[in-house]
Amino acid sequence: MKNNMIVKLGAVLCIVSAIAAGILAYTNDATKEKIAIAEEMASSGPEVAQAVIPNSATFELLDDTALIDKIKSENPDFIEIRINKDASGNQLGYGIRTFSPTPGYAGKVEIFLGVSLEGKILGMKIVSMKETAGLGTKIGEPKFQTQFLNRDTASEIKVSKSNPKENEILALTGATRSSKSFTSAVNNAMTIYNEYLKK
Amino acid sequence: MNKLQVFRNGLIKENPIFVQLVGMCSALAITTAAVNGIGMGIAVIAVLTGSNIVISLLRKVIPDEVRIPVFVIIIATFVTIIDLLMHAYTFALYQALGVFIPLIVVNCIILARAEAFAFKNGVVDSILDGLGMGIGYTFAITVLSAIREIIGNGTIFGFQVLPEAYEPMMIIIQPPGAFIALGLLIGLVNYLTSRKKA
Repeated sequence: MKNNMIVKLGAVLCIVSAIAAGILAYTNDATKEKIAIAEEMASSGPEVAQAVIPNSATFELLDDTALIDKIKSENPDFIEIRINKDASGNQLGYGIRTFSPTPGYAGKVEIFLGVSLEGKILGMKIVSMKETAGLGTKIGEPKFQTQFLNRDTASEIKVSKSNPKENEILALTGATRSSKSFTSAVNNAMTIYNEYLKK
Repeated sequence: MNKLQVFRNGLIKENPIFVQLVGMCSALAITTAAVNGIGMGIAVIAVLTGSNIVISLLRKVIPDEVRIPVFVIIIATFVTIIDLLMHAYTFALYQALGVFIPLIVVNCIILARAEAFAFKNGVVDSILDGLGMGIGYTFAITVLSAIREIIGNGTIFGFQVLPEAYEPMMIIIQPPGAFIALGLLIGLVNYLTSRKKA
């Protein structure tokens, strides 16, 4: 191959890459804000607030930096706490966001758990997970999640494969690890409530 | 080859999944729910048609020696654009498809059509080829994912179609089920096409 051929091919590749980079930079710029909003809505928008505690009108971050930093240093899976208030400004409870200490089939499950001021579970929402579609992802369905509702944060929830007892929930068939991971996240949120938020 | 034929080729006769057996990775991995099949299909149609157009337009400018790297850059650019757009506008679908959107880059359908068709044909034909192949792909993975969703979960597009009493056949949703369902489907397609010839 002659030298000028190498230069020519290099130049073609260089030009194509430069144009591609320019187009991508433009697209990135144009979608950046939309993506941030979509991420925000998906992780803590009104839909999430409703699933965490029904009738929530606001879902504001708890900005007690000292407390948040303390929890973070003592509980590595903890992410944030939000305060659910109804339309007239009365606090309904807390939304506690945490990863599951026990990983599921594919990594940790991230959830919001809604706890009332009296320490009862009012709702929950999965923020992110990588469980098997159609199998492990069933931990996100109401059929599975209703088992947790109205339980008291005082007693840890355990997972059973059949005939769940008082403090147990029934694992999903074929997705025991996902069920256990989700339950560990719920338990972790309950621990955070008991240790730092309970009055 | 007339225009209609170019378009129709990808649908059945040279269907990327059933006949050419390219793009298997995503076809096996994401076809657990019918809605994933459609979403992935639309993303592939967009990337395939877009890259076919650009490659066909540039076919006289791109030197033969570096055509493959140039194809890869063009395809990767389209995939990244689609990835960003889906992230911004169809967030739920973006989450469901996960890593398989960026992996469209290595989906061999797209490189295969660039090399075998767009680099040798005009823009209009390349668009038709991209659409035909893309729709053929979408059709195939949607059928596959619908079958897997019905048998493995008792639902289709999230709606319960089989009675609650039906115990879903879990394995069909799991990876081995993808191979079993795809194998049976390809067998069926081969049976139908060979009967037509005889």
